[in-house]
Amino acid sequence: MPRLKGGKAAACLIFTLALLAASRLLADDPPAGEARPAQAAKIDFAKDVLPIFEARCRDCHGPEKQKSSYRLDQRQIALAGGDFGEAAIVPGKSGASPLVAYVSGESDTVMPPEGERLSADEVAVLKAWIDQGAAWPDELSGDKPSALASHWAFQPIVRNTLPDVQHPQFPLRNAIDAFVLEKLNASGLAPSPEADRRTLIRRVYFDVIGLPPSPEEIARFVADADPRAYEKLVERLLDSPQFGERWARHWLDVVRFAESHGFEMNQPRPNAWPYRDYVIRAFNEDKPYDQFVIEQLAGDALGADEATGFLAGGPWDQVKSPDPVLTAQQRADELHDMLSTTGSAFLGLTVGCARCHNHKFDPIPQTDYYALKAALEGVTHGERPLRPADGPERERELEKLREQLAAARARLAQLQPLARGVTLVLDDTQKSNDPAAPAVEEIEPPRGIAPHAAGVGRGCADQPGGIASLPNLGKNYHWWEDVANKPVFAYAPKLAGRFRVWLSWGCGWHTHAPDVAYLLDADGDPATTADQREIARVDQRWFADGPPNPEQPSPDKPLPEKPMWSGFYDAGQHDFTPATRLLVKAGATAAPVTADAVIFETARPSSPIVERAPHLRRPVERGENSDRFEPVMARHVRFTIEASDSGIEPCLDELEVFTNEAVPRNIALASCGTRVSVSGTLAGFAIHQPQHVNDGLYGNAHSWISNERDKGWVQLDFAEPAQIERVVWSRDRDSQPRYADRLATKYEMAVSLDGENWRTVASSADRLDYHYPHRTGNIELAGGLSPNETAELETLARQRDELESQIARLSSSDRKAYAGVFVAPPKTFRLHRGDPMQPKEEVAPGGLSAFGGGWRLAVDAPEQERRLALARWIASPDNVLTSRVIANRLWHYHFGQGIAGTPSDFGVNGGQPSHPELLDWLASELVAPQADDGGPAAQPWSLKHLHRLMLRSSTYRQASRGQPEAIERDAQSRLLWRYSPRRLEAEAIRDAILAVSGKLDATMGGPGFDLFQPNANYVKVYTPKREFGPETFRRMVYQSKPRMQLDDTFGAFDCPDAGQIAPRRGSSTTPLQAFNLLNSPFIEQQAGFLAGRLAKEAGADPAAQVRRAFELAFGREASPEETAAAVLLVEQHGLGAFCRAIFNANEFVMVY
Amino acid sequence: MSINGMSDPIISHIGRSLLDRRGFLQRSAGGLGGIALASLLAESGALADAHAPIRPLVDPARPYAPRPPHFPAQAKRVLMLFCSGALSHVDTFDYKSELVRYHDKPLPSGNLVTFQGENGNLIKPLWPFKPRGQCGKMASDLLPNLAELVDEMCFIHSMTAKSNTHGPAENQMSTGYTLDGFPAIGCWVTYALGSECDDLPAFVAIPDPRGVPQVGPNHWNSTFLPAAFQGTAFNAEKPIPNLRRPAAISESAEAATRDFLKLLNERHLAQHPGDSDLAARIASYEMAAKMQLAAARVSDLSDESAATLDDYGANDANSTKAGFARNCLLARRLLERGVRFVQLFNGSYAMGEGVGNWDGHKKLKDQYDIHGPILDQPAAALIKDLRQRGLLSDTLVAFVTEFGRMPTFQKGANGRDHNPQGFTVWLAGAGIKAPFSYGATDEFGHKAVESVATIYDLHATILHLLGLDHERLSFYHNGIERRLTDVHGHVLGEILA
Repeated sequence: MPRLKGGKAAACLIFTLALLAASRLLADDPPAGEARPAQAAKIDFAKDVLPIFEARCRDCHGPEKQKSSYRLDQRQIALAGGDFGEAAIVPGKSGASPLVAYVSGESDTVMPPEGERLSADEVAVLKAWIDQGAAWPDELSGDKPSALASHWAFQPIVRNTLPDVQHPQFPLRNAIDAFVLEKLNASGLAPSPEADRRTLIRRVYFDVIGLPPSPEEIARFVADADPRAYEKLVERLLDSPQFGERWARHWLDVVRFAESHGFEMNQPRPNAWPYRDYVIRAFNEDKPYDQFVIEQLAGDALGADEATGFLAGGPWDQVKSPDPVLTAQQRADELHDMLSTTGSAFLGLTVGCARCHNHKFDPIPQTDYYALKAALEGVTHGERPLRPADGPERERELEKLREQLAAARARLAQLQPLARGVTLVLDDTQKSNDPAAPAVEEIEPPRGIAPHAAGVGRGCADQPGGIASLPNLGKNYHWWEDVANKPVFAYAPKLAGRFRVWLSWGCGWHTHAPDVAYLLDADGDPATTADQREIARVDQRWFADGPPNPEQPSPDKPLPEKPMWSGFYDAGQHDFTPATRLLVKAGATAAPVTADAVIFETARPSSPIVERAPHLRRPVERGENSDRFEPVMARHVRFTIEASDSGIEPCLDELEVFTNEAVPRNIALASCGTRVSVSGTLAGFAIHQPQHVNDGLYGNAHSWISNERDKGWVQLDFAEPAQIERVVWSRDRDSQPRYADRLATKYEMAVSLDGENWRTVASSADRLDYHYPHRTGNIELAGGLSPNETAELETLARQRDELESQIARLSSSDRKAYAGVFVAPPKTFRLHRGDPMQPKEEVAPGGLSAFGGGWRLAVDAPEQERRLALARWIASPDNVLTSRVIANRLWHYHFGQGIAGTPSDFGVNGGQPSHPELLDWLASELVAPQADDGGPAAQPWSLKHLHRLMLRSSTYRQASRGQPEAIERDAQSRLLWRYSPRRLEAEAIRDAILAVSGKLDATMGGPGFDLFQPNANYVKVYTPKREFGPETFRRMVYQSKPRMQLDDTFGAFDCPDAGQIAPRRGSSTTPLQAFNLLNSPFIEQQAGFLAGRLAKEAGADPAAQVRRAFELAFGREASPEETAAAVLLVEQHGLGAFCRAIFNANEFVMVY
Repeated sequence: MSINGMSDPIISHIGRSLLDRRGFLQRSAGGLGGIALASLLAESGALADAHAPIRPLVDPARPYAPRPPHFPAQAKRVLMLFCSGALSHVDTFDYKSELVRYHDKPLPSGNLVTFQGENGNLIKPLWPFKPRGQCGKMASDLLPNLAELVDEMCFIHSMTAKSNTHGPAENQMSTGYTLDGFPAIGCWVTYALGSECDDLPAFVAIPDPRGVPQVGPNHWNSTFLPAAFQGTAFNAEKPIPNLRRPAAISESAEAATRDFLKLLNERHLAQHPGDSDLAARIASYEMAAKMQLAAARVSDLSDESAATLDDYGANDANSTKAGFARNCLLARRLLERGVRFVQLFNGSYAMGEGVGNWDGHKKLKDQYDIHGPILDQPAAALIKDLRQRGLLSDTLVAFVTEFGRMPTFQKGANGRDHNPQGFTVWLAGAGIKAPFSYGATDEFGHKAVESVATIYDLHATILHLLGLDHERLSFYHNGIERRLTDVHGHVLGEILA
């Protein structure tokens, strides 16, 4: 590297030249990246640029210090940038190079931060150098060999030839033994002889299935004369369903699986267990590992729904807030958990470290982190229905049905009754204290109020109605007796204008009056009769359409003699003022008179359509509300809310305006150029903003809330006028609705062409009241439709109902899994320092570029496609990490430590492998098996193949006895001179206790058992059970494992708390473990069970009981000394005391 | 390390070796364990890399044996008093005259949306402040007994937290990380230093009588640190789980069982020579036997004088206060016996808003009028008792909470929302400058503006007082040298005595 002093002086001349060139560049001011003038003087890196770096930057960004991990003495880092993920120098584009911005003062960040700034000349030189391509000669690059080129785990997998070694007591059973023996030879260590059969069977039982062998199984194996007895044993255990239970527990550690959400509330996840069962099944079926990987990331695409429980397996903060910063941070943390677990579980990389800046050790730039994030951006926490086995066929069928349903619904939407005027339903019970509000008045005290007869038949309380008729809107009717010729009841609709009046009354009895008159009273005072006018006279024995044969009514029958509702009777169109009242007047007889609901409907000019029923539109609801009107040209639509159901600020999630074209278009969308304005917005909620009204997204999370109670308006201004005929709006139109408050119940829809003259095209005034007790349900209302349209409506409604029930049947599933819910992914941005409030450039879904994951999908690629692409890259045979990582994990659990000691970090900072050639051999054997392990030819990616090779090796079969010299030199047995003894894990201890006590329940799968008492607090409180029923005697892998909260008895045995991944467990020894194994109620209970078992199986003789206990618990005979001591204990303090000691013995929890 | 593991056996990447007796013996055989070696070299100036991680060498047979600090320590032990639910700084120790002046006026910088939504007007402290102690520090009437002790206290008024949700914020205060799954500070300290007491757990967490704090065991879980450094949670009412032998087992049966177990284990050990993990397990049963007695003794308050019990309020008619008072007494008794780290909780999980802890969103005055007296007298008595017994000179007291509260009321409510941007914690005792106030919030107590401090800084300072370099105390976990302070934190030099 040129020395600073000389270099600077010598550079002066060249600077002058460069300055000329640079000045020209500056004068021309070409946009960054544009072709630069050909005549620009060539900048020389060594003479012109390096001296500037050395003089101005070296102190903080040189060999001594690298602030923000940035250094200018190494080309690669100088160009790529430091911690924050941006390239510092973009060759050819000085304007896009942050370095230039920093040194020129064009950015908030100024370099150097202290002392003299770079001169204009110096800046010009740097700019010119970059614009000329930032040429940096190789001999001056200063680059260290990159980790990519040198780190063992990043190199291609090489299948080495087997070392030529041998040892008289160490038969080379497969390649493993050759690689191991070579290392032992090289370090002067000798392998241990094969362990005896008792030791071997106990070892291999705990290792493969996590349970102790029974005394009978031990005896059989010890006596088996077959030279392949051990291989048969291994095969039997690998085939046992308990193998999957044992090895699933290991995998669940690796992927931080638990059955509660963690954090403050830590509520249970009752449907997380299907993922656990999936893992057990996958291991038992020897599912090819590549498929296992792909399914966990994208099982929904492959008929393995529960597999994606992997993605949603981590902690999830349930506490939500309107604070947008918190919300964004929580979401960023969720995705961080998913992608860093993906990185560590499958690739053995600490990808999570690149969240805020480029990875400090491994070749993972920050942008790669965000490419992975983009691939998972659509994954959210939650439960999904599990689709049955014939899923794909059903899905195709469903797709077809959904299309048909969508078409039927679209046409139905066009056949909605037109919104028009006012339709007021005035029930006979509707009272009001507001003098301006519609109400009724009892002029004569009624004799009673009769409830309509129960049932759904005509006139009954729950008559459902149908197309062109209305349902029963009331529940009961008023009735009077002995009131001849008197007005008894008044309806005061408080309306002005011309209205059609629809009457209804109580009927069904032959005793009812046949001559009840309805009068319009202009001044509303029944005492003045001059202004009264009779508009109808009805026979209240019969329904509104009169007796079956009006010529010859037969009053004795077939009346039902039950209180019925008459249905609506058209009493014609009449003029009203707010004072006008409608009176019910008894006829000449004293027979009972009745009054029921009455409807006043805005009159219309005569029309060819015969009205069969009052015009009435459905009540507003949380979901889709449609307002249809005569086509009209409009440039503006205004939706004005006048009341809401809950009296608070109303909310609108979407407002759609449809054209009256054959295929109607929603022109309200912002993407059509429509602008939205509102009366005001409730402060402080990013999810409740005006722009959500026309963003095309439904649901509360994309809505607007007014800042006024019961009030507010939204206006849409279209890019150009259009003929429109329908507006659709909703409050929470979500597939899983959560909110029904803040619903606009009273509103007006107005249109305008010029923004000044407005015309109301629809309103809530002709809708059935929101609070009306009887809803119209799913029936179609046909007010205002032609007979043809009505017929079409009838057909479509029937079709729709059938399609809906078919779809419900096909998609119904009573099983759900906490396996994530996939949503349309929002855009992904690189976040400066990982801060969700500082988004930088958009990032496309992709993999890790340094590991063959340089692929990028389109930024708007479909959600599932992203995960599939990610999964296929990870599971590719070319991925150098995937096969190495899983081979090492299997090794880790079989031998107690991995060939690489950091099973989830194969990066530069991870542990060095003890036998890299062996690991590569295993990895290649996994991907492309060639070795004959004595079984059927192995399939690619078969994990059982690797298990078999490891278990059958002489390396695995070695005795565990310590050799002082070897311990002195390699205490860990990293070189595998013996089998390392180890303590059982928490689960294996508990399972072994149950197996030995005879109480183990081998039931597989399904929801787990709970070791904590139930409670329903907002923050779940975990109080350990003190009593254990047989439902808790299953294997511990089936314990509903809460996050954070460890089991009271076995948690102290280094059980992971599932807050973070646990690729390797500790093996501590603590006094608390002693307390738990000595004194916990579980141990006391199980010691009792074991005592019972011994008494049953060995009879009353203490010596026999002791013998049986040693066989069960330790797999061996008791020595005379042990027997004597044990018998004494049994005789003096009972069998229970002895059994308690057995469970605490070192021998019980150790494996050799 | 070398691949063949022969030439350089000192540090293995196998975490198990940290508590592996074989490895321990091998490494300590030469007389230089990791930490001893590191200190020796550091003293002689020979250590090339002064930033190299220091991983204490732990004897699995005696995981709580005392281990030397990195440099001479001011404090030997820590009492962390944790007010769960977020204690309001503006109503207790952070007096703002402007808040009184602007009472019921909007925050000039505009209405804020915080954790629960919109905020209303600024609201003055709900309890009057007045000068206290010799130093005249302003403190409110909510905690009058603690207020009397201001001369002992060093306030950090500029504390900030990373989250405004209780769960992540409690996680951060106790583990350094907002996420679940990281070791608690008490685990780190006992991992580094062991304990001065071999018959009690090195790290005791004392939950409030009303229940465990909001993120429960996250406050004392060892997670990826060895389980030996798991905090043991018990209080005056609920002893260590499974501490006592089952009622059905007589003392003589217990003794005979233990004798038989010993015989079994010793025979077994003889058959597996050189497997010293077995010895460690035998030792753990012996330790358990001693602990059984010691833990029962330490929890038995009957030898405390009536005057002491009254000072603490241990017989108060308010049973929650009496329970917390007994927990305070238990804390003193544990510290007295050399327990390294005691975390004493005031307030529990949410059992209804503000019912079980300091989370006063809607009716702060009513709620704190209940919680204040439960905390105040017992906690003040504990500090005075430590002082009187001379324990305060080598015990560090840290009074913390997960974040503060807003100077405003929530819109339409009579309480204050979460405020992680500025709040108060105080330290007292060993190595602490007192009376002293460090840092400041703005004129209303809303945001820390002067000498802004982070929880990393607080943790770095606590470790520093214990003689530990927070940048070097580490545990190698899956490729990462994990630290309590992640990659952050500065010792707050100004608050050191």
